[in-house]
Amino acid sequence: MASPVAHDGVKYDYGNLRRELRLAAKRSSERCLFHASKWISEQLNSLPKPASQSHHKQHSGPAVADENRRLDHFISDEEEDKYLLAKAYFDVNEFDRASRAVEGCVSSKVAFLCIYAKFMAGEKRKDEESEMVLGPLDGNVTANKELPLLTRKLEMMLHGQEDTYLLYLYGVVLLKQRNEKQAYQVLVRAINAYPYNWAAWDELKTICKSVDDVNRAMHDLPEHLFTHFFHVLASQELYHANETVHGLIDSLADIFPGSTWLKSQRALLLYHVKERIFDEIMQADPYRLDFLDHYSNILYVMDKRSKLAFVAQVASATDKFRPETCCVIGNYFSMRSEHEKSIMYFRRALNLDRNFLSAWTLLGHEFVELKNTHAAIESYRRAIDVNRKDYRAWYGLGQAYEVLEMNYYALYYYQRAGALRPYDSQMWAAMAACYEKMNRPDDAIKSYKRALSGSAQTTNSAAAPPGGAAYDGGFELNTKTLIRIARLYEKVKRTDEAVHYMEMCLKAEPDLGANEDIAAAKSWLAHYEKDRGNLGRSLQLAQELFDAGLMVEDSRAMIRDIRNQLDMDQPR
Amino acid sequence: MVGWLLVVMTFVGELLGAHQPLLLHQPPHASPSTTETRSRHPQASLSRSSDTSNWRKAAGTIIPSTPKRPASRQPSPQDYYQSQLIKRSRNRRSEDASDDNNPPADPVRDFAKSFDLLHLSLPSENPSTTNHTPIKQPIEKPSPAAPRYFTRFQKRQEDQKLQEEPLKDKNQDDHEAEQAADNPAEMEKFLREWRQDAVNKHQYDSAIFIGDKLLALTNDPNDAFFLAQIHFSTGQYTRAQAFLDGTGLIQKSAPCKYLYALSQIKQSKYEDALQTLGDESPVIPNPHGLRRRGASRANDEKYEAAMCYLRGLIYTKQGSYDKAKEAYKDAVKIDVKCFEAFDTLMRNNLLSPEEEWQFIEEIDFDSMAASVGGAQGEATAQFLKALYTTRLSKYRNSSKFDDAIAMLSNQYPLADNHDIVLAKAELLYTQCRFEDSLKLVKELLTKDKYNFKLYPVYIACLYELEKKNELFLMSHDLADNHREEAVTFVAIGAYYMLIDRLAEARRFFSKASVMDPSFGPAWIGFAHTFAAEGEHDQAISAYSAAAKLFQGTHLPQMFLGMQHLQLNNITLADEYLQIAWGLCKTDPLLMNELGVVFYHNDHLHEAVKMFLNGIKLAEEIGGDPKTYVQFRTNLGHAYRRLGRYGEAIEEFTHAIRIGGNEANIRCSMGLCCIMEGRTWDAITHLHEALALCPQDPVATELLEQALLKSADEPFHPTYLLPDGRTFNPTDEDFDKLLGEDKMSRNDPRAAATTTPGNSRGHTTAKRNRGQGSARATRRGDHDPSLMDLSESEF
Repeated sequence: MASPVAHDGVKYDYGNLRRELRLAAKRSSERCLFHASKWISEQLNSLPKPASQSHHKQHSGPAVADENRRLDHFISDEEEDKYLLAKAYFDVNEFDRASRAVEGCVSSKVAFLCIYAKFMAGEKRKDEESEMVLGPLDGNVTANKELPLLTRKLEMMLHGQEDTYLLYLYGVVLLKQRNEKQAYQVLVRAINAYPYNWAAWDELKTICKSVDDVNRAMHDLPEHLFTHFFHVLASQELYHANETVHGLIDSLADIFPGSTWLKSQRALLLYHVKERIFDEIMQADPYRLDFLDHYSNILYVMDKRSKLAFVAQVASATDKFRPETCCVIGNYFSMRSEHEKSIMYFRRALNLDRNFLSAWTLLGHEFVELKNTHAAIESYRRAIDVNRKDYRAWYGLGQAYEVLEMNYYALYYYQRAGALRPYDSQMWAAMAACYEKMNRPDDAIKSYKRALSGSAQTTNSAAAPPGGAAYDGGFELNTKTLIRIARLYEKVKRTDEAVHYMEMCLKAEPDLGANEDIAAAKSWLAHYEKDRGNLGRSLQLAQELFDAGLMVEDSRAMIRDIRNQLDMDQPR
Repeated sequence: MVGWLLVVMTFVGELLGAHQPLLLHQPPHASPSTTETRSRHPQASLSRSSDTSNWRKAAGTIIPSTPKRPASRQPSPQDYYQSQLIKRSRNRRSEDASDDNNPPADPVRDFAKSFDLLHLSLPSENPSTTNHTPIKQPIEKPSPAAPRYFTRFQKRQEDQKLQEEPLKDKNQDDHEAEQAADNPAEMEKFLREWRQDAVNKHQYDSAIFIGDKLLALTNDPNDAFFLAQIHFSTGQYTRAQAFLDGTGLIQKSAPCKYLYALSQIKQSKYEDALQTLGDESPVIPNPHGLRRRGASRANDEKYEAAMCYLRGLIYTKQGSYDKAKEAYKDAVKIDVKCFEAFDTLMRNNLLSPEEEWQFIEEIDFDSMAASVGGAQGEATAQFLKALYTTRLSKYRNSSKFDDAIAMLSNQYPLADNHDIVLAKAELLYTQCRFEDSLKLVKELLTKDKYNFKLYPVYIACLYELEKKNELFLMSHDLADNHREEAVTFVAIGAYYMLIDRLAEARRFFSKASVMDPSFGPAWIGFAHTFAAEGEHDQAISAYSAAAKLFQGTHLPQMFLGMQHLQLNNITLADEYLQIAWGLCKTDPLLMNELGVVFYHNDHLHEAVKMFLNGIKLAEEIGGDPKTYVQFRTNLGHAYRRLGRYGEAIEEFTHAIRIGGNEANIRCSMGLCCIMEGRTWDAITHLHEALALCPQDPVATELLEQALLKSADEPFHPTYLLPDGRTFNPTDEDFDKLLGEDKMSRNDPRAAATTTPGNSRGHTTAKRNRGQGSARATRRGDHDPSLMDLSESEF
């Protein structure tokens, strides 16, 4: 298939694409992969209106012939009947029954449904056995007991055939067992067998833990329309916006002009226009709840309380029992500092879907607010279990362990967060603080330096933690960091470097005006110059301090002192 | 007429004389006594209770099986014999009618009549059945050994009753009854039929009543024996014994001796029983030689076998298992059809698998073939051998086992027979294919719910598959209906063990083992409860008891080895495991344990080899891979100790994939990652371990180590640039970025003065000069972007 991102202006073959998407949606839906089916159908319907009905009909017939036909076939009428029964059971959440109804069938759809239903039954039981969110039985302790059996069955069925949906399922099972390496291979196989299998893309995304991973994956993946979707999604999740990704979104938006999904991806990547885009989306699709929790995070950080309340109302009017809704409401209560209530809502979100990432992280933030460090750690940890790419959870863990004064732990978690966002000064500053506490000034200095280099980027990064302390602006942080570096250098008795950073600190003055850090730097430099005998500069600095009205007592005493010395040096 | 009859009787008597050795231990008395009886008046014989007359009569009575055996073996004389008898009975009837005064006068006739009544009423009415009964009868005869066979014995009798139904109706004809009242012989016949009828209906009181009267009338040893049988059937063993004592038949008639010993066993008088039986098995060095002696010895043989079996039973009760084993083996060798003994041998695993297969070769199936004769005989022998083969240990020769099953299912419609299916289920169980095994057993149970042979496998499968609820229901059902079966309590014990209530489990297992001390599962379960609690010493003593009882199975030895392993007695463990290995070379789990011993002895390469072999074997068997998690884990550990961390991690991953999700596997993966220097991965694994088991001390310790190590490692993450490229700057890059290298320029005075940083200033100044090129070489292409970054910032 030709690259969809054709910038050469050739009109895209919509007829074919439509057909393929239609088929893909149908295939997913027949296999009860509801989310994938929903997504594909959304994209299908976001295509521009076809020029004429007849045109579409011409192509729809024989052209669909492809090697994946097997996916739609039933071996016998009996299997088809059984399939219908199982599908009906599945639709009413009778998973075990569904699985049993089609036991031993071999047609692609039916075999898939049999195993998938068993898997879902196991998941359902697991959720039931986990009992309370964050209870003693919640988490890894309770596993899906069907997994080993399913692994075996899948291995047997996949022996010598490449059924994309079965491969996908195998990948899911492997992922549940934390076998990421193999899961990756299997999912790539699934995608190569049938690139329109969005469910597989969606799982593959969770394996890519860094941009490196994404780039590496690109080599294994086919050149396909969905590959670009995947690239956009993976980059978004990694908060990694660059020209390529934006270019991809643009070109995809050309093909799918009405796609709210693409819009929300764009919104999540572009921090500053998020609000506007989300407003547009809410207008275009008022009952859409997907990604609304992200929107509420943005509103939280931007401190737009009334807007957040509005969004919460809209969401709860649409569906009170969607994890997204619960998250929005939780954010709202958190903003009103009603942390108990907000915890309740986040818990509810998790009861609805234990793999709902943002709820875990936000729950952790709320526990931090309530000074319940251990609960916070547990929540963050679960967030990481769900998605290792969530730097906020890593950072939260670091903070929690710092509170507990377990500096080695804190450092590790900050490093994990830093690895995800190396340009984020916050992470580096936190790391440096840990090094300081661990009495390793050299390492602390190095980290602070990195914090300095990254601070400029903080403002246009994707999202800041809504629940934690608001981040500091670039330059204010800079002076603080510079002072820290200088003081650390002083501590290790490398005065030259200390002086250098103090001086740098002064350079920030024209932009920021006088602040305490600059005052401290000046005071320090004044002392330093005085000790070195450079009384002129010392006096000048002390005078500046005095004039700015900072550290008045100290500077006055110093001025007096310097004048005395000057007087002594220069006889009247 | 009378003369002719006398001739016929004499012939019969001779025939009987010829057969007497089959029944009696003192054949020399046989022929003279027959003649003596012939000359004696019935009244005299009634009043007499002397030994000689009694046993002689027994010779006639206890024949139930006698005429049948020859029937199958020596067709030609038998035919003649039968035809004579039938003729005789016809004649007799006519004679009775014509000559009313005379009849009871002749003792021979009396004797023959009793004979006729008991054994030939059936064939004479329905000759076609003759061919069936002889085959059934001998198997049935030794059956009263155990209570469950006792019930089966009754069942058999019921079957017979059904066959006899039409006959009985006829006999109960009023006319005939009247006749019987007139004629003492007819009366006896009538009473015997009544007695038989009562027995068939399990109305033992009436049977005893009638039997007693009958005995009083006839004083026939046959009737005495029958009465003893009835006493035995009602469970009045003492009475049966005392009664037999009274008759004095014990030393003369094998069946009586057998019944006597059995009664004693039932009363737990093992010493006495052994005395009755004599503790020497008849020495039968050459089964072929025995066979050549022919049919004449057949019946004796049969009782000999049964008595050997009883001896085995006694030895088992007395705890001398080796002797018991030999006795059982003798029993089967003497008479192939002594299934009871064979079953005991196999069920209790008294033989090692090798011995079993050797034993089945020794068993004299040919005698079977000979007894049936011709091609049919050959087939019968084959059939029996196949049947027995299915009962053998499943560890060895599974191909032969499959052949046997195939033969039985193909040539005979026995594919669905429960013994065959059970054998299949057991095979599946030993191969750890619990689901499949359970399915088979459940099918069988729907057909025959209280077949207790099925329950051990059923319970074991349910336990392995952790089907608590089913086990619960099943054990309750058993407890409601079958409190007398040891297996009931094993089921309850297994249930409690499954729900981790070991004290209760132990109580029930111990109850089961008290009820039936030779019931293996009870002992093993009992020991398991100790093992599960970590009470190794007690577990060891319990396993030892089991090991003594079940010499044929390697399990107790293996469990002993495992316990010693846990106690760190590596050498002892090795010894036990080697014994187990000697018994069974095809148990993957045992190979696992052996591997562990190698591992502990630091023979890592051998350990790896052992584990790999075990895995290979497991895969060949095709069992549930879940069972072999331990293998993968252990193999992983061995690789880890060998420093082959990559392979170790592979194995651990595999173990997790097939279902082992344990803290210790994750922990070991963490350790491997630490060793490989992948600290972050290690921390991830260790966290997962702690998530599964939050208090795990090893994982906590390792995590601490890993975190400390991680803190010491330099941290240089990859940066992403807006244009999509990545680069990995060093700390020096940042120094430059922050203008540390420009320090001298920024602070000229510092350069001028002689401070310690002065020289640094110079070097940086120098570096400053060559900055462009140096940086370009160091960072290559990324340089400009870094410059951008720095410029945007400052």
